[in-house]
Amino acid sequence: MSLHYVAVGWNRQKKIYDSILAGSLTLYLALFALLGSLVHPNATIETLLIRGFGTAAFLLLHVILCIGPLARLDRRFLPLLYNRRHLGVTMFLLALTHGVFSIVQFHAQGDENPLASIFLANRRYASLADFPFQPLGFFALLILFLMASTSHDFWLRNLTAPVWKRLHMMVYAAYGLLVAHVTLGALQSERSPVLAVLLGIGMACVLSLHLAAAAKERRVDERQPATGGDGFVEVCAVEKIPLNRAVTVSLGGERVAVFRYDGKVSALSNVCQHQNGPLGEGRIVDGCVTCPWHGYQYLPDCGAAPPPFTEKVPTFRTRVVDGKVYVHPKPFPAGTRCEPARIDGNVQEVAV
Amino acid sequence: MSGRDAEFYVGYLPKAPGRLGASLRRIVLGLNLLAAAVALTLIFAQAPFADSRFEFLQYRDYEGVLVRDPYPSLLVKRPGAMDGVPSFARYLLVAEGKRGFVPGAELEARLVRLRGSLIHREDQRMVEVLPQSLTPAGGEPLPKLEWTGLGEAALYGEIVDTKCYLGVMNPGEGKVHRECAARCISGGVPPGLRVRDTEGNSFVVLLAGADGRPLNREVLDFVAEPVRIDGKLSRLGDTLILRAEPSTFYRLAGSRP
Repeated sequence: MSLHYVAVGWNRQKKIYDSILAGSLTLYLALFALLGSLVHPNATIETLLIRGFGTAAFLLLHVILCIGPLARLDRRFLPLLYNRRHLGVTMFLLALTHGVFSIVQFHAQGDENPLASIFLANRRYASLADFPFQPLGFFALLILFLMASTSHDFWLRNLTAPVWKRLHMMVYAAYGLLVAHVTLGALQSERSPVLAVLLGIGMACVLSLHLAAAAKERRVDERQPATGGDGFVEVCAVEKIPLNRAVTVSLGGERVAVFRYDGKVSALSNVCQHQNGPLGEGRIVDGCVTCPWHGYQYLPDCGAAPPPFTEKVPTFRTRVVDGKVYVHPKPFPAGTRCEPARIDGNVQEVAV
Repeated sequence: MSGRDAEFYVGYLPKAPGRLGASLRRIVLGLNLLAAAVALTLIFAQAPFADSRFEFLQYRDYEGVLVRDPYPSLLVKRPGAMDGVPSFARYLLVAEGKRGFVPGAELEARLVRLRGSLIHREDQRMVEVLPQSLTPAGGEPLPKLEWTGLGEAALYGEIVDTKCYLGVMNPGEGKVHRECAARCISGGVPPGLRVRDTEGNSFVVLLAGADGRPLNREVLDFVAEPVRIDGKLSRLGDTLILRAEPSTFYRLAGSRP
């Protein structure tokens, strides 16, 4: 969490994260270029670099796309998500290097503007087999640029989280364009089926993980508790909520995170104001609901970030009767204090 | 609550919880092994690269007869003669970048000297001429060398720009190279038809119009695609040329020849 904008809010974890990323990418590119030049002594270094940077970017994009659903399915992957924006910006820089090298190599020093040449050199737009693949990569790069340039919290705050989130969902359009870019480009020129198999495995991973994560979330949405006469909805037995954790329930189409802590129960919107992370998958740290994605915090009884921070989420009335937790589905405005429900008696802890 | 679930990662705290940190190290190791496996697979799965060379920034001096029929070339006399006829090696001439070389008409059929970088693939050669390096070497113009007609021929292949195909880029053919080939040919680099003989060896046959004119922009729509071209095949020394009108080029669907 930060109150003022800085280029990068460095901390120890981010430095470790970025060091590992830089080391891994250096190893990948060195392996690709050096071993590639030994295995293929006739290959030019420009070709190996274009291919090395392109494949590194595409591989990293797969990792980026898989981290989200993996973190939803298994919280051991959450630390990878913490600094995912640095992965995204790095991936854009790799793709940009691939793109600039390619434009210089294939379009510069000719009789046409290199950028115009991307669209004009091959005009077989009516043919699927001969469709120009380079414009597809160009448009994907534009999307990645848009995302990388707005990745900072400055843009997140000013565009608002929902708009920023929708903007960054364009990564799936970029991914689709890049799959087409690879399929209509490299795959058509290479003879080995191994490349097509690799691409298929990558797409299958991205798709299956997203479907699995969506199925998990759908199970939450499908559990629609019945509404009582006074409007309160029975959510679960108190002991079903692990201490300092939450149970997420869908009430009136909105996901609500119901936390148990200090002998009390409070309910907040499940949507973190930072990047719409799932607060219900977070926990109480230092008395605050803490988002599992980036550690943004909210006081559980009022949904407001502790001063001097200003983020706020809606709150919900709660009630505990006969060991059962009830929540009223009508939200209070974000940051409104709502008296937590007290738990009388001991709660038997359950393993989760 | 199990031990691992009891741990909670907060990125801005100094250290990840112990067991979560251990899991994370395994994940990072796994991702690195995955990246290395992908890199190795891609390296070994790439199609082999042709034995072609571009002596970039290495310059040699050349002396020979300049001809422009139909593309600027330097004919360098080989030692000896076959059946009393001098034997020449043809060096196609191109400029730097994606440009053709345009020598002055006054040098046609004259002995010239030039300096440039060699581009070669097997026994097919080209020189990227260093600007301002072309100078006359004296003497009278030589008699025009005539192409020997080999008759009508139907050749199957892919139109390439000879500069990249002979060595400036590798690969210098196929769909990934289409845009570059179009740019080069449009800029004046001689177009050639890459054909394969019955033993699978590839070589380039120069392309010209039916009237012998250079073809550049006229063939752009057919570059890097499988085509059949019916025309008149001729030979001069070690160079083959196919004269045909682009309007008769036939685009082949399916596998590349």
